[in-house]
Amino acid sequence: MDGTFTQAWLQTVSGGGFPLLTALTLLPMLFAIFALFIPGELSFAHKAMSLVGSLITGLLGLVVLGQFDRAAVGMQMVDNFAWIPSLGVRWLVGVDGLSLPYVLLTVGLTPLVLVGAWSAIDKRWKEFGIAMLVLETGMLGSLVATDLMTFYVFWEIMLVPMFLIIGIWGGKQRIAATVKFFLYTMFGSLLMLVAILYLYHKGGGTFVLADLAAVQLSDKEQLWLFAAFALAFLIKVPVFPFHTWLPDAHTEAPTPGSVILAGVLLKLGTYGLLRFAIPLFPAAMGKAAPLLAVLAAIGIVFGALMAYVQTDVKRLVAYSSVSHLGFVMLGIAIFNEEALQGAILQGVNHGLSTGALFLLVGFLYERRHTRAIADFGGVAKTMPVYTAFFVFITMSSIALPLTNGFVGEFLIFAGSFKEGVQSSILPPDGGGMAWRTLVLACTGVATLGIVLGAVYMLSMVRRVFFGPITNAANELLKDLTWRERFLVGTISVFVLWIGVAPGGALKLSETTVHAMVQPLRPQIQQVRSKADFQREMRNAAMLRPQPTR
Amino acid sequence: MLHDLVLTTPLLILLFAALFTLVVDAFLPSGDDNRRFWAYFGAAASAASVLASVGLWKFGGSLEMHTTAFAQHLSMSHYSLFFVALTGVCALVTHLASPKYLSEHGSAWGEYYALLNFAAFGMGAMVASESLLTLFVGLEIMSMAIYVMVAIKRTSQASVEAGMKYFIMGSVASAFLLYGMAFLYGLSGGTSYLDISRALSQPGGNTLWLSLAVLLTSAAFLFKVAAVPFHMWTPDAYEGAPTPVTGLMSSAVKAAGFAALLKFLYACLGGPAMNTLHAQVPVVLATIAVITMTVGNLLALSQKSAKRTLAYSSIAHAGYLLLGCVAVVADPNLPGYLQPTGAVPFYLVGYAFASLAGFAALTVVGKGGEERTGEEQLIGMGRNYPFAGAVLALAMISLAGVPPTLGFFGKLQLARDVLGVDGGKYLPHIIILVLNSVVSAYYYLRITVWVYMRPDPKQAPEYIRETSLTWAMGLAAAGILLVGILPQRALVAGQRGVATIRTATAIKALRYEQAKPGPQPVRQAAAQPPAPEAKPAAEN
Repeated sequence: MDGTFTQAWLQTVSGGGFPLLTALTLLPMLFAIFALFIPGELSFAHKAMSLVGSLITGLLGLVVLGQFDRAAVGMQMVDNFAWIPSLGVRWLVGVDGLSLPYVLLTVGLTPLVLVGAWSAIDKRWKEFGIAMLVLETGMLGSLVATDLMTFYVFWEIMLVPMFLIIGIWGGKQRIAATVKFFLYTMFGSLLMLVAILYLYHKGGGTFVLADLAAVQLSDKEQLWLFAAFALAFLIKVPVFPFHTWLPDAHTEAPTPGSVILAGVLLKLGTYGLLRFAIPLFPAAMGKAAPLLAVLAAIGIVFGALMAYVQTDVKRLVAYSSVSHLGFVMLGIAIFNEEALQGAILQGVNHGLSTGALFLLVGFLYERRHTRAIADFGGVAKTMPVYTAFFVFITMSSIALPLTNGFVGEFLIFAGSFKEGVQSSILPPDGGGMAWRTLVLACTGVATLGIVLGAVYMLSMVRRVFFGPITNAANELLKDLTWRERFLVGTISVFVLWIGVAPGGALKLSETTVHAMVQPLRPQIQQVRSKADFQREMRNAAMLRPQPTR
Repeated sequence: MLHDLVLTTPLLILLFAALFTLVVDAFLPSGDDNRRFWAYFGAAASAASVLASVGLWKFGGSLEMHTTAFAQHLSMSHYSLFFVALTGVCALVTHLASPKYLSEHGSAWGEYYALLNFAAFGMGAMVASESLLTLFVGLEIMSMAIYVMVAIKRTSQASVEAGMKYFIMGSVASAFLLYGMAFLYGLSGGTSYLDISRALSQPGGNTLWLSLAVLLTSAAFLFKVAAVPFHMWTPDAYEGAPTPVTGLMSSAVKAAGFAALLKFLYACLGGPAMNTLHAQVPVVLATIAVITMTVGNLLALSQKSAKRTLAYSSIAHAGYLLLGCVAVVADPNLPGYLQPTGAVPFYLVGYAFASLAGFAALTVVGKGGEERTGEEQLIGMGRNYPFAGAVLALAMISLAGVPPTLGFFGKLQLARDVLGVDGGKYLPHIIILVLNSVVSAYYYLRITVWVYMRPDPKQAPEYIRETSLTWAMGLAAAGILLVGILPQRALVAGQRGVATIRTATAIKALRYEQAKPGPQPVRQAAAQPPAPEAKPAAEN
């Protein structure tokens, strides 16, 4: 047979080390293939199959964490095989501090989501289990791939299972929502594919990220290629004007779909920007950074305001995602060490807290089959444990100190204030003044977003949980079962852990962020202060003594 | 003579299977079960033909045989073998998909299977042709068989109408082809590709007549592959034809059409015949390609039935493939890492498997003479007949070009190679191609939505369930997935195929130069590099 698998096997038996990341990525797919041959009537077998598959993947994820060297720079545990030599596609996978947090988030959330789905998904478990496992392979593959085409393949593989999950098990408007999701995402991705191919030709026939980053491009080329990459990623995140697919997809998706969508899929947008778009086109990023910062600030406030006026709890949480990811985008646009650390951590935080919120909303929906805020009120009286968990996760979502949200947002703000007040690279005398003012303005607006976050979340909590019971149906609500407590409790532990002792989580990405910012930041800054540079040159020319005969 | 027979084994198997079927069927007692035997017989013949092609591919090199047979009228080069094997697989799947459907529609004739074998033989002759004569004969054998197969449901008005329409339009196309060939003969004084390319490379040729000849001939090919503006017959013929036949039309007929077109263009334009057309033809092709894909996709958006949607989708895919032809025609100008480009052969494999799978899965709704494939018929298929539903969904995903299916890698290679032509000259065309893919995803998804996502109907429709049909679907689906995830072999095979027509042209140029009186020109050295490719290595 062809390349990859034979070579991987050969490498293993010849003592070259177990191809850990390859196994991690393909294991869920393998279980999905097993599941194909189990009849659909045995839904218990499918529940067990998908759970076992994702748990073993989770264990492998822990092994990856154990073998990960936090002090090392560059990709670790690299597997490098020829996959499709005729097309120049290599199976080149590895992890570093940028991808590892998200790999762990993926392998951790998937089993939880599958356990959560035991009650949320009541039909066609065969298809559901297979879709979830394929989705996990897609997510892991996108996170570990460092060959652009391998990345692209996995990036697109994620689309089909998500399309099915929303479309088959979703709510009333599911078909419109899922088609919108698919077409929107595919549109962005395909333009990125053209950009990848263009880059491939420029690089003389390779898709390997490290080789392509060394390709010399003109400013114009950089800008167009960056635009194509950024469009794909910004749609996925989603950043403000491209967000319209998200509320529909989130609201119509079944609970497991929402959790995975919010928990991991959206992060892949910001991850893609950091992994591919910025290192490949730093100069274009320099030009685009002000725009990204402004879009991020708009997204923060817009998402918050939209969330405030929602009448459906799930839609409210969906818009809160737009707002939260605005913070992550702000950190990326600032691109200094503090802000980037914050952005990466905030991505994980959002996955945990919003994932937990979607789970919690799902629990309520399973009991009452409605999500309208107006249908509730006084739920705290009948469901005290549920209320406690919900309030705790809400605190994390609005970034209260001692929860994870605080650490992430604090780091982003620390980074952006530093950038605005004393930029470490630009000369202090006026250079880049416009950029600094912009950063400070965006940071100010983003701070407003935090306040608004508290407003919409807390007012929702008040209306749903407190006050008198107005609706008789809420008198008989049953509190959380042990399975549900276990799910939310597990996530809460991590929320608290990152909030109280963020050192361990931050250490994971510290070296990588440092190694990334160090060479790239000057390239980005150079472009940003070009206008200033030209002004200085003009001044210098005027001061130069005139040649005399 | 023996040499000729050995070389053409894959074709002869099909021919004799067809004749055997035709003669013996007359003596078999009536009854659908006896007709069913011919389906298995034909499938076995197709499989044997495919195996023979593979065997020739593997051992042809070590036997050091020349690849031309029958006085250089046929050439069983890697290029021909590739397409003979591909059309053989298409015929195999069609054989397996047919019997129950035909019984349900009251047209289980033994002749159907004979015609299917004749069609496969015609395709083989067409792609293997080295002269205009064999090309025309092959094309007509294929076409005549397909016309009858389209109209084989004698009692169905739609089927007969479709056959009639296809026949009349196809005859006009054949007339075009003959007219163009007449011009070519007049210009070159010969009918073989060798003569033509030799004559056309003479300086001072008449470009006007040559352009006219290429235009007329290409029009006939564009008709066969359903490119705009010769696409009008497609929706009606595809919809009216029995569903397995539609599968054959969109997979094998299209593959044979493109294979013959490329070989023809290469003979007229490539190699020694570096005439003025060489610069113009790719531009014309690219323009037709862009118009074809856009028209096909936009018209497919508003279709109500899956079969008609796929008919328009096949027009769109013809557009993608025509763009791929640009890369193949421009092959010598490509950067080194792209040569030789297998864009068209590999894409055709992907498209063939996807449309075979799609139409095989649509065959199951043809229970009881029913011939509608709209929303009503497909709703609930994912639950009531999970296998067929999954195959149909997989086919749609592959046609939309989503990884890890074969359709994606086909599109990837095609876009990559076209983008490499003349330093990105066709970038706008590629952007139009990917935007078209987004548009097409909408209607492919719509079919998937019917199959999986609409609430189940109260009364589940009856489906055709049959072992051989299941095998047909399984084979095509396995092709989509296995060749999709590990595409290397098919890619290399396609590249070697294109390499042989390139090498053939180079060798022709060499022979031509050597035969020329006077001092040997320097071009002999230039023709040296392709020489290793002329000897097929044993690794494949």
